[in-house]
Amino acid sequence: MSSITVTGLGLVTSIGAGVEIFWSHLLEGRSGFSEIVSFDTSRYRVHRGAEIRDESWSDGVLDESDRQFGRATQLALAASRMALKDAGIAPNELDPARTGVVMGTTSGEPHEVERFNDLDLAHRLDELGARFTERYPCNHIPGLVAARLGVYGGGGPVMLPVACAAGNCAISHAFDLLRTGEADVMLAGGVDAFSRIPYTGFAGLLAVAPEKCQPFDRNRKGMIPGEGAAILVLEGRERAEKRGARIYAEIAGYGLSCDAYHMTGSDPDGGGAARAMEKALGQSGCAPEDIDYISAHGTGTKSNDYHETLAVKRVFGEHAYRTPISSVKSMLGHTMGAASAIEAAVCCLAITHGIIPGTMNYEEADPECDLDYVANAARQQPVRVAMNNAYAFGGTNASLILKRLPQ
Amino acid sequence: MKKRVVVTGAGAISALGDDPATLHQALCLGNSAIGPITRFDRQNLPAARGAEIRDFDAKRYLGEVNLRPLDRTSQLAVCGAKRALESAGWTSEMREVAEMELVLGTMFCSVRTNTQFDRSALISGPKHIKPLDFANTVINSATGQTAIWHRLRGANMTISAGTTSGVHALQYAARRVALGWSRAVLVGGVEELCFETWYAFAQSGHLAGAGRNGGSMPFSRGRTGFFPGEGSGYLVLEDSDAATARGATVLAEIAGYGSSYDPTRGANENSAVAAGVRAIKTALETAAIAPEIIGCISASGNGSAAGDRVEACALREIFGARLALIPAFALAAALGETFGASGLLQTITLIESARRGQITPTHGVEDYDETLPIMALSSSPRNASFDHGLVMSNGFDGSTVAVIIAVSAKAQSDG
Repeated sequence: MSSITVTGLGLVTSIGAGVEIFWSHLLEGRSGFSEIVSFDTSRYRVHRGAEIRDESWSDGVLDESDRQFGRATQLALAASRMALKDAGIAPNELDPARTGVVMGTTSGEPHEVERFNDLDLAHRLDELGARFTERYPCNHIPGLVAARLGVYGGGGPVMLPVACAAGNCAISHAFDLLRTGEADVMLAGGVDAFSRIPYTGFAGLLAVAPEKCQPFDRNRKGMIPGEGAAILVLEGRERAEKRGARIYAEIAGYGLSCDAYHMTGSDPDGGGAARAMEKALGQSGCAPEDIDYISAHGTGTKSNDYHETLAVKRVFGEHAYRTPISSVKSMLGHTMGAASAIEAAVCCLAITHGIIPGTMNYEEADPECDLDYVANAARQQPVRVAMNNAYAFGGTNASLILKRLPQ
Repeated sequence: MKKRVVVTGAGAISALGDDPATLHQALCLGNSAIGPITRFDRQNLPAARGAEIRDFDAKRYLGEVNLRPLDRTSQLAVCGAKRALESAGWTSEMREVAEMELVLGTMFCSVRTNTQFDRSALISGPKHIKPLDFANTVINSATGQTAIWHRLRGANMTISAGTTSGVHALQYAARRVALGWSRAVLVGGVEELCFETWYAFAQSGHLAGAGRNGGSMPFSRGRTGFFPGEGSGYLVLEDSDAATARGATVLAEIAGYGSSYDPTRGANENSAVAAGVRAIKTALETAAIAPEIIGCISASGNGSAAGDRVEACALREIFGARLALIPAFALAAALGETFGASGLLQTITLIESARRGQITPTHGVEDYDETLPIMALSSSPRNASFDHGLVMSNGFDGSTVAVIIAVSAKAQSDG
C-alpha cells in the first residue's frame, strides 16, 4: 500500500492566513487574542476571544457568489482553495470522481441558531425563510466546498461533527479512504466560526481565561475560544512524486477512543487519552521513543492540561520528559473543530522545517505539569515523527501520527 | 485481506414500534404514525403534522434513573442502543473488554438543545446558563451520552450527511470492521422531532401539504413534500469470524456499499440521477454481484417531488425494466422523514422483511406517479423471499448512498 502524504496546507487563523504568514507569525509567538467585536459581551464575566479580525483572508480566494454562504462555509472554502494552491493543484486538474472532501466541526453554522432566536424574540420568526435549512445542517459545509470545487469522489462530502477532536477525525477518515483506494485525493480538515453559543457555554463553565491562554502554566486560567479553518490535501506518495509535488509529511496512523466517563470532564486517570495514543502508535508501527514532538491539545484549562500530561506520561514513561510538547492554543486560542486540523498542519510544518513552535505565555512551572512544554519560544530541532492529540466533549479522543518521508 | 462484516443485532425506537419485529408487524398491518404533532406549545401557527413518538418514555428502557442529563435526542439514542446491544447479546463485560465502538449518524442532533441554550442565555443572561445544557449543545452530544451510558470505550464517531447520515455512518462502521480496526461496532442513526426543525422545513417549503393520506405519499401523484419524523435505529456489526467464534446469531451481512454526490446539489436532474447511479454501481461492485441478484429495495422516497423522481430514475438506469418487478417499499410513507435515523430504520425493516419472508407495504401508495419509472411498491404486504436487498438513501443536497444487505440462509451459514 502506497503511503499517504500531505502535499498542501490551507489555513485561516486569527494570526494570519496562508502557510507562510501563519508559520512565521506562529514562530514569532504572535497572539490572536483581542476584545470580542462580533457580539456584545457586556453581560459576560470575560470579554476576550481569538476572532479573525483581519478580513483580508478572503481577498482573491472567495468571489462575490461565495459570500452568500455562512461564515464557517466561507472559512472552509477559502482554506480548501489555499490548500489546493499550496499543493500545486489547479482546480481543473482535479479528477471529480476521485477527489473527496471530509471535514470536522464543533458547531457548524451556529449563527443560524442565533438568528432563529433573535428573530423569534423579536416576534419576526416568519422571516426565517429557507436560510436555516440551507445553512444550518453542518454537512452543508463540506457539501458546498465539494460543489464549488465540482468534486464528488471519496463517497461524497461528509461532516464529522466530533467537537474539539473533529479535525483529527476528518484527517483519519480521509486517510482510510485513500488507503482503501476509494479516492486519489482528499481535502480534509476542520472549521469553526466564532459564535456566542460556545463562548457563553465555556464562560458559564468558568473555563475562559480573562486575558491570555497559558497552557500548562501553574496559574493557567482557562482557554480562550477562537475561530479558524485548516484543510490538508492528502494523496498517495506515488501520485505526489509523479507530479513532482512537495511533500510535507506522511500520515503514519491514528487512534480513536472514548473515555465513556463524562460529557465535559476528563477521564480521571487519563486512560482514554492514553488508549488513543497507544492505538495510533500501534497502527503507525512506532514506539513511544520514536516520537520527536507532541502537538498537545493543551487548552489552558486546569483539568485538560493536568490530565493530558498524566496521559502522556502513562504512554511515554520516562521518554515523556525527553519529548517536547507544545500548545499553539497559547497563540490561536481554541479554534474548536478546526483546532486539531490546524495542529496537524503545525506538525507538517515542524517536520518540514525542523522547528517546534513554543507554548507562549508560560510563566510559572506547575509541579503537576512537569514536562518540556517548549516554553515561550520556538525551538530548532529535527522532527522525524510527530504526534497530534485532540480531545473533545463526549469523551472522544483522537491521536494522529505524522512522519517525515524517508528520502 | 478485508474481513466480512455481519449484522448480529438490531434495535429501534420508532413511532411504530420499539423493536424490528413490532415495527415490521405494524407496517404490515398498514399502520401510519403520521398525525397532528402534540409536542409543540406554540400559539398562532398552522397545524403541525408529523410522525412523533407519542408515548416515548426512556424510563421504560433505562429504569428509574435520572434522565436530566439526556435531551430527547440523547434519550432516543441511548434507548435504541440498549435495544440493539441486548438483541446482539453484547453484555457490559464484553463491551468493556472489546472496547466496542460507536458510530452515530445525525442531521440536526442537538439543534433543539442548542436553540434553547442560546435562548435562555439571551433571556436570563449568560451568567445563568446551565453547564449541563451546554454539554448537550454540541452535535456529537448524543454519541457522547450513548457511549457514557453503555460504556462504549472504542472510537466514538458522529457523522453528518443530511438525511443520508445514517447510511453514511453504516458505511463508515462497516469499513472499520472490514479493515480490521474494529472487532465490533454499534452503528446507529438518531433524530428528534422538534419545533425548530419542523418550523425551518415549513419555511423552506419542504413539508407535505394537505392531501389524500394526509399528504404523505412517496412516489405518488400530487405529492408535495414530507412529514418530519423521529426515532433511532441501530445495528451491531462484527467481524464475521469473531461473530462465529462467539456463537452469535447472524442476521445479515453488509455485502457492499457505495456513495456519491451531485455537485449541482439537485439543480441539474441528470447530474443528480448520475450520482445515484454511481452509488448503486459502487455498491454492486463491492458486493461483487450483478443487479439481477437484488430482490428487494428499501427506498428513500419521502414524498419530495424532485427527490422521489431522481431516486426512481437512478434505480431504473441500473435495473432497467426489471425495476417494475423488484418488490420495493418506502418507509417514510408511514414513519415520516426521520432524517439521521431514516437509513438505519430502512435497513432494519429490510432485514426484518427478509427474515419473515414478508415485505412491508408502502402506506397509501394506491396512486403511483406514472410519469416516474415504475417501481414495484404496494400498499399491502407481500410474501417474498430474497437473498440480497438494496437500501437507498438520498439527501436534499446531493448526497446519495446505496448499501447492499445479504440476508440469505447461505450468506448466514457462510458467515
